[in-house]
Amino acid sequence: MIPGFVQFLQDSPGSIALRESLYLYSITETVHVLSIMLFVGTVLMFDLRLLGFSFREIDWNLMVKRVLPWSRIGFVLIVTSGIILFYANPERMFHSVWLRIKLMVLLLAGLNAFLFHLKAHRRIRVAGAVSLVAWIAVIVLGRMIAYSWFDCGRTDSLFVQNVAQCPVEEAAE
Amino acid sequence: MKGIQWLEASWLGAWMNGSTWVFPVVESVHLVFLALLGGSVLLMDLRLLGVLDLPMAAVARGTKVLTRLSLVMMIVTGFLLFASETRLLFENAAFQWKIGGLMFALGHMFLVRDPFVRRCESVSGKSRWIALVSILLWLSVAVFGRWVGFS
Repeated sequence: MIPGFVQFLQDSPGSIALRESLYLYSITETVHVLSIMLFVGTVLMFDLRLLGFSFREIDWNLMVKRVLPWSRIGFVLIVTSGIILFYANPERMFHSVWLRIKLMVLLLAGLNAFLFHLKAHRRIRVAGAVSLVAWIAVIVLGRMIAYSWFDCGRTDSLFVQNVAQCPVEEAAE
Repeated sequence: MKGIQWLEASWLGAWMNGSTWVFPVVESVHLVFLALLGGSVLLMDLRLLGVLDLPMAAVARGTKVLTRLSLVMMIVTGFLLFASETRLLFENAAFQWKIGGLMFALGHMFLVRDPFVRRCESVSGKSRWIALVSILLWLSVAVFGRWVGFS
Protein backbone atom coordinates (compact mmCIF):
# COMPACT_ATOMS: atom_id res chain seq x y z
CA MET A 1 0.00 0.00 0.00
CA ILE A 2 2.72 2.49 0.95
CA PRO A 3 4.87 1.61 -2.10
CA GLY A 4 1.76 2.23 -4.21
CA PHE A 5 1.36 5.66 -2.69
CA VAL A 6 5.06 6.37 -3.23
CA GLN A 7 4.63 5.36 -6.87
CA PHE A 8 1.62 7.68 -7.13
CA LEU A 9 3.69 10.57 -5.75
CA GLN A 10 6.57 9.71 -8.07
CA ASP A 11 4.30 9.94 -11.12
CA SER A 12 2.41 13.05 -10.02
CA PRO A 13 2.97 16.16 -12.18
CA GLY A 14 4.27 18.28 -9.28
CA SER A 15 6.93 15.73 -8.42
CA ILE A 16 8.04 15.41 -12.03
CA ALA A 17 8.14 19.20 -12.44
CA LEU A 18 10.29 19.55 -9.30
CA ARG A 19 12.74 16.82 -10.37
CA GLU A 20 13.14 18.29 -13.79
CA SER A 21 13.16 21.94 -12.75
CA LEU A 22 16.27 23.98 -13.43
CA TYR A 23 16.28 26.02 -10.23
CA LEU A 24 13.32 25.14 -8.01
CA TYR A 25 14.91 21.95 -6.69
CA SER A 26 18.28 23.63 -6.05
CA ILE A 27 16.60 26.56 -4.30
CA THR A 28 14.61 24.19 -2.06
CA GLU A 29 17.76 22.31 -1.17
CA THR A 30 19.56 25.57 -0.41
CA VAL A 31 16.72 26.64 1.90
CA HIS A 32 16.90 23.23 3.60
CA VAL A 33 20.67 23.43 4.19
CA LEU A 34 20.61 27.09 5.23
CA SER A 35 17.79 26.45 7.70
CA ILE A 36 20.29 24.27 9.57
CA MET A 37 21.86 27.52 10.80
CA LEU A 38 18.59 28.91 12.15
CA PHE A 39 17.15 25.66 13.45
CA VAL A 40 20.01 23.40 14.57
CA GLY A 41 22.21 26.44 15.21
CA THR A 42 19.90 27.97 17.78
CA VAL A 43 19.05 24.56 19.28
CA LEU A 44 22.78 23.92 19.76
CA MET A 45 23.11 27.26 21.59
CA PHE A 46 20.40 26.08 23.96
CA ASP A 47 21.91 22.60 24.35
CA LEU A 48 25.30 24.06 25.18
CA ARG A 49 23.59 26.17 27.86
CA LEU A 50 21.87 23.09 29.31
CA LEU A 51 25.23 21.34 29.35
CA GLY A 52 26.70 24.30 31.21
CA PHE A 53 29.28 24.81 28.50
CA SER A 54 28.14 28.25 27.29
CA PHE A 55 25.99 31.20 28.43
CA ARG A 56 26.22 30.17 32.06
CA GLU A 57 25.35 33.74 33.14
CA ILE A 58 21.96 33.42 31.45
CA ASP A 59 19.17 31.48 33.17
CA TRP A 60 18.25 28.55 30.94
CA ASN A 61 14.53 29.17 31.53
CA LEU A 62 15.04 32.55 29.91
CA MET A 63 16.79 30.87 26.97
CA VAL A 64 13.69 28.66 26.53
CA LYS A 65 11.55 31.79 26.16
CA ARG A 66 13.92 33.87 24.07
CA VAL A 67 15.94 31.48 21.91
CA LEU A 68 13.60 28.57 21.19
CA PRO A 69 10.98 30.70 19.32
CA TRP A 70 13.71 31.26 16.70
CA SER A 71 14.35 27.52 16.57
CA ARG A 72 10.67 26.98 15.90
CA ILE A 73 10.75 29.29 12.86
CA GLY A 74 13.78 27.36 11.61
CA PHE A 75 11.99 24.07 12.27
CA VAL A 76 9.03 25.07 10.10
CA LEU A 77 11.39 26.12 7.29
CA ILE A 78 13.52 22.99 7.45
CA VAL A 79 10.61 20.53 7.69
CA THR A 80 8.69 22.23 4.87
CA SER A 81 11.69 22.25 2.53
CA GLY A 82 12.47 18.67 3.61
CA ILE A 83 8.99 17.48 2.65
CA ILE A 84 9.32 19.20 -0.73
CA LEU A 85 12.69 17.49 -1.26
CA PHE A 86 11.08 14.13 -0.47
CA TYR A 87 8.26 14.93 -2.89
CA ALA A 88 10.79 15.70 -5.64
CA ASN A 89 12.21 12.13 -5.46
CA PRO A 90 9.68 9.98 -3.58
CA GLU A 91 10.94 6.59 -4.73
CA ARG A 92 14.60 7.20 -4.07
CA MET A 93 13.87 8.90 -0.72
CA PHE A 94 11.48 6.17 0.42
CA HIS A 95 14.18 3.55 -0.18
CA SER A 96 17.03 5.64 1.21
CA VAL A 97 18.60 3.81 4.11
CA TRP A 98 20.12 7.10 5.33
CA LEU A 99 16.76 8.89 5.39
CA ARG A 100 15.23 6.00 7.33
CA ILE A 101 17.92 6.16 10.01
CA LYS A 102 17.74 9.96 9.98
CA LEU A 103 13.99 9.88 10.68
CA MET A 104 14.56 7.46 13.58
CA VAL A 105 17.11 9.81 15.14
CA LEU A 106 14.75 12.72 14.44
CA LEU A 107 12.07 10.87 16.38
CA LEU A 108 14.49 10.37 19.26
CA ALA A 109 15.36 14.08 19.25
CA GLY A 110 11.66 14.94 19.20
CA LEU A 111 10.90 12.59 22.09
CA ASN A 112 13.80 14.08 24.06
CA ALA A 113 12.49 17.61 23.48
CA PHE A 114 8.96 16.51 24.41
CA LEU A 115 10.14 14.95 27.69
CA PHE A 116 12.21 18.05 28.40
CA HIS A 117 9.22 20.34 28.07
CA LEU A 118 7.19 18.01 30.28
CA LYS A 119 9.97 18.65 32.79
CA ALA A 120 10.44 14.90 33.01
CA HIS A 121 14.21 15.09 32.90
CA ARG A 122 15.90 14.73 36.27
CA ARG A 123 19.03 16.29 34.88
CA ILE A 124 18.82 18.94 32.20
CA ARG A 125 22.36 18.07 31.17
CA VAL A 126 21.15 14.71 29.89
CA ALA A 127 18.48 16.44 27.80
CA GLY A 128 21.12 18.82 26.40
CA ALA A 129 23.56 16.02 25.61
CA VAL A 130 20.96 13.82 23.87
CA SER A 131 19.72 16.77 21.83
CA LEU A 132 23.26 17.85 20.84
CA VAL A 133 24.29 14.37 19.71
CA ALA A 134 20.98 13.65 17.97
CA TRP A 135 20.94 16.84 15.92
CA ILE A 136 24.57 16.42 14.87
CA ALA A 137 23.71 12.87 13.77
CA VAL A 138 20.71 14.17 11.83
CA ILE A 139 22.95 16.61 9.92
CA VAL A 140 25.49 13.91 9.06
CA LEU A 141 22.84 11.34 8.08
CA GLY A 142 21.06 13.97 5.99
CA ARG A 143 24.26 14.79 4.13
CA MET A 144 24.78 11.09 3.38
CA ILE A 145 21.41 10.84 1.61
CA ALA A 146 22.98 12.62 -1.35
CA TYR A 147 25.51 9.80 -1.87
CA SER A 148 24.27 6.86 -3.87
CA TRP A 149 26.49 4.06 -2.50
CA PHE A 150 23.64 2.36 -0.70
CA ASP A 151 20.88 3.05 -3.21
CA CYS A 152 18.78 0.04 -4.14
CA GLY A 153 20.42 -1.68 -7.09
CA ARG A 154 23.85 -0.33 -6.19
CA THR A 155 24.66 -2.27 -3.06
CA ASP A 156 24.84 -5.99 -2.42
CA SER A 157 24.50 -5.53 1.35
CA LEU A 158 21.51 -7.60 2.43
CA PHE A 159 21.23 -5.53 5.59
CA VAL A 160 20.80 -2.32 3.61
CA GLN A 161 18.42 -3.96 1.15
CA ASN A 162 16.25 -5.14 4.02
CA VAL A 163 16.30 -1.87 5.95
CA ALA A 164 15.56 0.09 2.77
CA GLN A 165 12.95 -2.48 1.62
CA CYS A 166 14.44 -2.56 -1.87
CA PRO A 167 12.10 -3.89 -4.56
CA VAL A 168 13.31 -7.43 -5.30
CA GLU A 169 13.95 -6.99 -9.01
CA GLU A 170 16.19 -4.01 -8.35
CA ALA A 171 18.55 -5.77 -5.96
CA ALA A 172 22.09 -6.05 -7.26
CA GLU A 173 23.16 -9.53 -8.41
CA MET B 1 46.17 29.12 -11.19
CA LYS B 2 49.16 26.84 -11.83
CA GLY B 3 50.51 27.85 -8.43
CA ILE B 4 47.63 26.10 -6.68
CA GLN B 5 47.47 22.81 -8.59
CA TRP B 6 50.24 21.25 -6.55
CA LEU B 7 47.72 21.05 -3.69
CA GLU B 8 45.47 18.52 -5.41
CA ALA B 9 48.53 16.50 -6.43
CA SER B 10 49.99 16.61 -2.92
CA TRP B 11 49.58 13.90 -0.27
CA LEU B 12 46.72 15.92 1.18
CA GLY B 13 44.77 15.93 -2.06
CA ALA B 14 45.54 12.26 -2.53
CA TRP B 15 44.34 11.48 0.98
CA MET B 16 41.08 13.38 0.44
CA ASN B 17 40.44 11.47 -2.78
CA GLY B 18 41.90 8.16 -1.68
CA SER B 19 38.81 6.61 -0.10
CA THR B 20 35.05 6.66 -0.46
CA TRP B 21 34.53 7.89 3.07
CA VAL B 22 37.04 10.67 3.68
CA PHE B 23 35.37 13.32 1.52
CA PRO B 24 31.80 12.76 2.83
CA VAL B 25 33.00 12.69 6.44
CA VAL B 26 34.97 15.93 6.07
CA GLU B 27 31.98 17.49 4.33
CA SER B 28 29.68 16.40 7.17
CA VAL B 29 32.00 17.97 9.74
CA HIS B 30 31.95 21.14 7.62
CA LEU B 31 28.11 21.11 7.82
CA VAL B 32 27.96 20.42 11.56
CA PHE B 33 30.14 23.45 12.20
CA LEU B 34 27.98 25.44 9.78
CA ALA B 35 25.20 24.88 12.30
CA LEU B 36 27.37 26.03 15.19
CA LEU B 37 28.73 29.03 13.29
CA GLY B 38 25.29 29.99 12.00
CA GLY B 39 23.73 29.67 15.45
CA SER B 40 26.36 31.67 17.29
CA VAL B 41 26.69 34.44 14.68
CA LEU B 42 22.91 34.69 14.42
CA LEU B 43 22.40 34.89 18.19
CA MET B 44 24.72 37.90 18.43
CA ASP B 45 23.17 39.53 15.37
CA LEU B 46 19.60 38.99 16.61
CA ARG B 47 20.65 40.64 19.87
CA LEU B 48 22.07 43.63 17.98
CA LEU B 49 18.89 43.80 15.90
CA GLY B 50 16.90 44.11 19.11
CA VAL B 51 14.78 41.00 18.57
CA LEU B 52 16.44 38.82 21.21
CA ASP B 53 15.85 39.98 24.75
CA LEU B 54 18.94 38.64 26.52
CA PRO B 55 21.81 40.55 28.21
CA MET B 56 24.12 41.94 25.49
CA ALA B 57 27.38 41.24 27.32
CA ALA B 58 26.41 37.65 28.16
CA VAL B 59 25.44 36.91 24.56
CA ALA B 60 28.70 38.46 23.34
CA ARG B 61 30.80 36.43 25.78
CA GLY B 62 28.97 33.19 25.09
CA THR B 63 28.96 33.41 21.31
CA LYS B 64 32.56 34.62 20.91
CA VAL B 65 34.27 31.32 21.68
CA LEU B 66 31.68 29.27 19.74
CA THR B 67 31.99 31.50 16.67
CA ARG B 68 35.78 31.32 16.74
CA LEU B 69 35.89 27.57 17.28
CA SER B 70 33.48 26.91 14.43
CA LEU B 71 35.30 29.36 12.15
CA VAL B 72 38.55 27.47 12.71
CA MET B 73 36.85 24.12 12.08
CA MET B 74 35.07 25.36 8.96
CA ILE B 75 38.25 26.80 7.50
CA VAL B 76 40.24 23.62 8.23
CA THR B 77 37.59 21.30 6.75
CA GLY B 78 36.95 23.78 3.93
CA PHE B 79 40.65 23.74 3.06
CA LEU B 80 40.61 19.93 2.99
CA LEU B 81 37.60 19.95 0.66
CA PHE B 82 39.40 22.51 -1.50
CA ALA B 83 42.48 20.29 -1.62
CA SER B 84 40.44 17.44 -3.08
CA GLU B 85 39.28 19.42 -6.10
CA THR B 86 41.61 22.37 -6.31
CA ARG B 87 41.49 22.95 -10.05
CA LEU B 88 37.75 22.53 -10.41
CA LEU B 89 36.98 24.82 -7.49
CA PHE B 90 39.52 27.45 -8.47
CA GLU B 91 37.69 27.97 -11.73
CA ASN B 92 34.21 27.71 -10.19
CA ALA B 93 32.38 31.07 -10.13
CA ALA B 94 30.26 30.18 -7.09
CA PHE B 95 33.42 29.25 -5.19
CA GLN B 96 35.11 32.53 -6.12
CA TRP B 97 32.07 34.47 -4.93
CA LYS B 98 32.00 32.43 -1.76
CA ILE B 99 35.62 33.23 -0.90
CA GLY B 100 35.03 36.89 -1.77
CA GLY B 101 31.97 36.99 0.47
CA LEU B 102 33.89 35.21 3.22
CA MET B 103 36.61 37.90 3.19
CA PHE B 104 33.97 40.61 3.59
CA ALA B 105 32.13 38.65 6.28
CA LEU B 106 35.33 38.09 8.27
CA GLY B 107 36.40 41.72 7.81
CA HIS B 108 33.00 42.93 8.96
CA MET B 109 33.03 40.63 11.97
CA PHE B 110 36.52 41.37 13.27
CA LEU B 111 36.91 45.02 12.21
CA VAL B 112 33.37 46.35 12.60
CA ARG B 113 30.92 44.17 14.51
CA ASP B 114 32.99 42.76 17.38
CA PRO B 115 34.77 46.06 18.21
CA PHE B 116 31.33 47.70 18.15
CA VAL B 117 29.83 45.06 20.46
CA ARG B 118 32.57 45.71 23.01
CA ARG B 119 31.37 49.28 23.58
CA CYS B 120 27.71 48.74 22.78
CA GLU B 121 25.15 48.42 25.56
CA SER B 122 21.86 49.00 23.86
CA VAL B 123 20.21 48.56 20.50
CA SER B 124 20.47 51.54 18.14
CA GLY B 125 20.07 52.25 14.46
CA LYS B 126 23.78 51.60 14.08
CA SER B 127 23.68 48.24 15.86
CA ARG B 128 20.79 47.17 13.61
CA TRP B 129 22.70 48.04 10.45
CA ILE B 130 25.78 46.20 11.64
CA ALA B 131 23.73 43.09 12.43
CA LEU B 132 21.86 43.23 9.14
CA VAL B 133 25.08 43.48 7.12
CA SER B 134 26.54 40.59 9.13
CA ILE B 135 23.51 38.36 8.49
CA LEU B 136 23.45 39.17 4.77
CA LEU B 137 27.20 38.59 4.34
CA TRP B 138 27.19 35.22 6.11
CA LEU B 139 24.02 34.20 4.31
CA SER B 140 25.68 34.94 0.97
CA VAL B 141 28.72 32.83 1.96
CA ALA B 142 26.41 29.92 2.78
CA VAL B 143 24.32 30.31 -0.40
CA PHE B 144 27.39 30.48 -2.65
CA GLY B 145 28.84 27.55 -0.73
CA ARG B 146 25.76 25.43 -1.46
CA TRP B 147 25.84 26.61 -5.06
CA VAL B 148 29.40 25.34 -5.50
CA GLY B 149 27.89 21.85 -5.50
CA PHE B 150 25.32 22.71 -8.18
CA SER B 151 27.69 24.27 -10.70
